[in-house]
Amino acid sequence: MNKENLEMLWDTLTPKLYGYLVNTLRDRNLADDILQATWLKALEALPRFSDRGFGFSAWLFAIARNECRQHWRKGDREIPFDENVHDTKEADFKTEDKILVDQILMRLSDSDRELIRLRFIADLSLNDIAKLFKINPITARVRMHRALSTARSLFIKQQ
Amino acid sequence: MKNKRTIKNIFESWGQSKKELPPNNNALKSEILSKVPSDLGKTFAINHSRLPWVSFAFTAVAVVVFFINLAGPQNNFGKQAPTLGESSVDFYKTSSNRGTSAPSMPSLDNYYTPPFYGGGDSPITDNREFLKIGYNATVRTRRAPLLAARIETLIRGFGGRIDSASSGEKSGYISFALPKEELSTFQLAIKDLAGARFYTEQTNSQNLLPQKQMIEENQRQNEKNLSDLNAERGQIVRSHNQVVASHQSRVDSINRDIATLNAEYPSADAARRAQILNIINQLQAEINTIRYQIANENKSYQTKISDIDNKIRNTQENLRIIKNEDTNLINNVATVNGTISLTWINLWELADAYAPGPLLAWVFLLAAIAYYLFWHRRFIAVPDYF
Repeated sequence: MNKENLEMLWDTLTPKLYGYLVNTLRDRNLADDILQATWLKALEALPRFSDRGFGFSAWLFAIARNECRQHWRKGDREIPFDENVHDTKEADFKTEDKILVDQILMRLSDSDRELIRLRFIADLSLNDIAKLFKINPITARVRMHRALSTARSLFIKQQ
Repeated sequence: MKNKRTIKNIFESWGQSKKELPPNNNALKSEILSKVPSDLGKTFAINHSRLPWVSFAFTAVAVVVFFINLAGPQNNFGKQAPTLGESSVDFYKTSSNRGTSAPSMPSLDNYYTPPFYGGGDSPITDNREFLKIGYNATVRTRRAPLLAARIETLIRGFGGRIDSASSGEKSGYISFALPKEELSTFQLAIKDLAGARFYTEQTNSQNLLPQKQMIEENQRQNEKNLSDLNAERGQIVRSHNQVVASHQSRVDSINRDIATLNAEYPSADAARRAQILNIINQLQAEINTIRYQIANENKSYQTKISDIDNKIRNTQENLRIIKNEDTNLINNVATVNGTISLTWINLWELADAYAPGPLLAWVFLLAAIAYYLFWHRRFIAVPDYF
């Protein structure tokens, strides 16, 4: 792995990682900081990296989640979402759908919400998610199925 | 299903919409990539392919130790029995020495092997068994004095007898005798007291048929001697009586002749009287000779009788001794002579006794796992994150 490879990784993973962090932290400045810290830690630990069947992407998100946990440990957990301040880039997503998804996500449990973020923002496979959650891949699949079922029920109710 | 697909599509669209680059992406990217070490590729390549060889080595050693241990006990179990031509420690000599001084404590691997006696000249048709049982046990313990006291109490409780005992802080030795019929129960009790893991025993038995046959042969020989001597004595008595009776009848006959001559003497003439006196004198001389012979015969008879009575007494004494030997042999067969050695067990051996398989193999295996965990932390990417 060299700098060129890392540049490619950056270009591929940073949108997902930053999107995930913004959605998780609800604070762009904080997301910037944690994005930076995550990459620095990843570079620091890169000589010791071995994918062991899991990709760099999953590993990077594991570091990011850990950084988030460390942040929350120091201070507050997720702050209330204010789209005017924190999340204004929704140009290609219909406002109606955005509101709907936000309402659905608000009513899901923390773990289901995290599962959906990792699956649909981070684009992680269920195996990678299982590894991050330290659960069996089948369990991860079942949880995802349940989360989607719950979301579907909420979606129907909302409609 | 349609709704599910729909919600999935909505989430996918939502996820796509959420992906974005930070506003200062280029600056951030330059800053981060500027911190990439120049030899990153080399380091990464080396570490990525590295394997926990030390763990593999420890595991291999553990496996080797395990298999060596599997083959090991057969090699250590007992000394080889001496062959026919070899002299071996005499069983009874060994037993008699037990009471005098405590021998060196045997180790677990130092099992007693009974000496080989063979069947002697005993024919196979004689299938009697007079089994003398010897019992040796070794108990590994960390509380030798207490265990020794309990074992002594146990032996006495089984109707046994302590022949010798010694105990120290880390070792002990008890030599004892026990009724044969109590042995099996006693063994169970000792095993229960000491703990089966720390107890090794060896019993050996020896058929004392040759000794028994020798005793019986001696008894037969002595009984025959006694019978012969009694017969011989009877013969001597009869012979003596015959000789004495013969002499006596001769004396009686002469006395009758003398009486006849004495009766004739008053009515005989002078010449006849002189003749009668002469004959009587001759007959008296003959009587004296016969009495002398009778005296000699009596003397000879007394000597012979005394001699043969001595022989009979000796033979009877031998028979009594043989009978005692026979009783002793039977008692000996009915008694188990045994020894119990108490030896110190260190913590390693204690752990080894409880470990399933050789402890050393487990230690190597644990070392392999420990090293693997260390290696895992060191060479696998940031384990906290996974």
